[in-house]
Amino acid sequence: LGITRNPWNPGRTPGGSSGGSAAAVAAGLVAAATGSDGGGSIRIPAACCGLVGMKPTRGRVSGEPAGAGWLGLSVYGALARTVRDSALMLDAMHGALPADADSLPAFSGRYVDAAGRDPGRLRIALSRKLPVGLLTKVSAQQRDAWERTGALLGALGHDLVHRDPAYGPVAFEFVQTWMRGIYEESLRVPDRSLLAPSTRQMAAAGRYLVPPARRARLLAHRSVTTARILALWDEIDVLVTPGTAMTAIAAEGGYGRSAPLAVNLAGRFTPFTAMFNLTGQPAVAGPAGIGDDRLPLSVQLVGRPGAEDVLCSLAGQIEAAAPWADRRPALANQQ
Amino acid sequence: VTASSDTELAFAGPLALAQMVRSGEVHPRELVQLYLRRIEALDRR
Repeated sequence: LGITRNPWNPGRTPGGSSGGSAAAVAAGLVAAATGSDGGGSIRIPAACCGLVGMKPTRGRVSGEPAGAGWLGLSVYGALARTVRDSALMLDAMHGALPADADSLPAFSGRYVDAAGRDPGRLRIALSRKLPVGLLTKVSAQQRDAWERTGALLGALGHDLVHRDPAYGPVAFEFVQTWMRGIYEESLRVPDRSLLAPSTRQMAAAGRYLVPPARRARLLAHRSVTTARILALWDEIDVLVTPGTAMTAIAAEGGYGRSAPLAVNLAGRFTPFTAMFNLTGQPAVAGPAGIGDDRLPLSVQLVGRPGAEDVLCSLAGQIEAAAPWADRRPALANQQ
Repeated sequence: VTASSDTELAFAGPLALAQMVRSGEVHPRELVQLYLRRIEALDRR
């Protein structure tokens, strides 16, 4: 299918894996789009394209008819240009079916209303800690954008602390679960010879490095890891991290590269997203200004399980204080 | 309809578009045609 490009700069990636959805929303080819997020695949393209991308809590949006994606790492959500449109999409998408492996108590309100509501005074932690195993450097501009967001949240009256979640070895657990999930997903593909070589390599890694006994241990240990990370949310309501480590990288990215190279590149670019697929928490990436390279900067807000409404309210408050929707890629104004 | 108001419509977002469709200000068919035109013009750029 070729390389997907970023409307802000076609030499750069729109992120992935819901990058086509994000590029289409940012260029005004569709009003909003659905996506799926198994390691950041909604939040990363949102960060790259200046959009709002929310990964709902595991169980908030039905996984049917495909079933739980990637051993529960992957959930459905939406990409939109404003917090209210993102909330409207979630209003349309949320709910569970009897066949779902994971489901939450139903949300009875409207996320659109939450997006327009004052969040009240929240306890907010700022963190740019990288989980062990992810070696990268957050760009100065991305760090500044994250700090500016923190300053704005302070000015809005929230209680700020600098605290890091107890990530521990979550990145290693994530990558093993993820590889095994890709392997199991690959078994459902009618013709595996049509998969990209790097996808086949990832599936093979999942098959041989994560055999059934290890898979069972990973799934059994998930609740321990989740409880350790979630302990921070006993003291806070929302965690704020940079969205990605830097603005969108070259469009070619890991395209056509071997799986280890592609995974390494992705990890250095997007170290802040995957741990919350393991914990299943809701998280939203949104715009935080434009960098010197004229590409969107981003931050991520991470909430307590089931608290998408709090994220909608807080993101809506940030957007009202520093609106971004009038900024569009120049390409989108050409006809 | 001018190109710039077309662009504004394309970027109005689902919440505003739903209200415009409900009030009869715009027909869903026009919106689909608008987005198909934009895909034709901008995709593969």
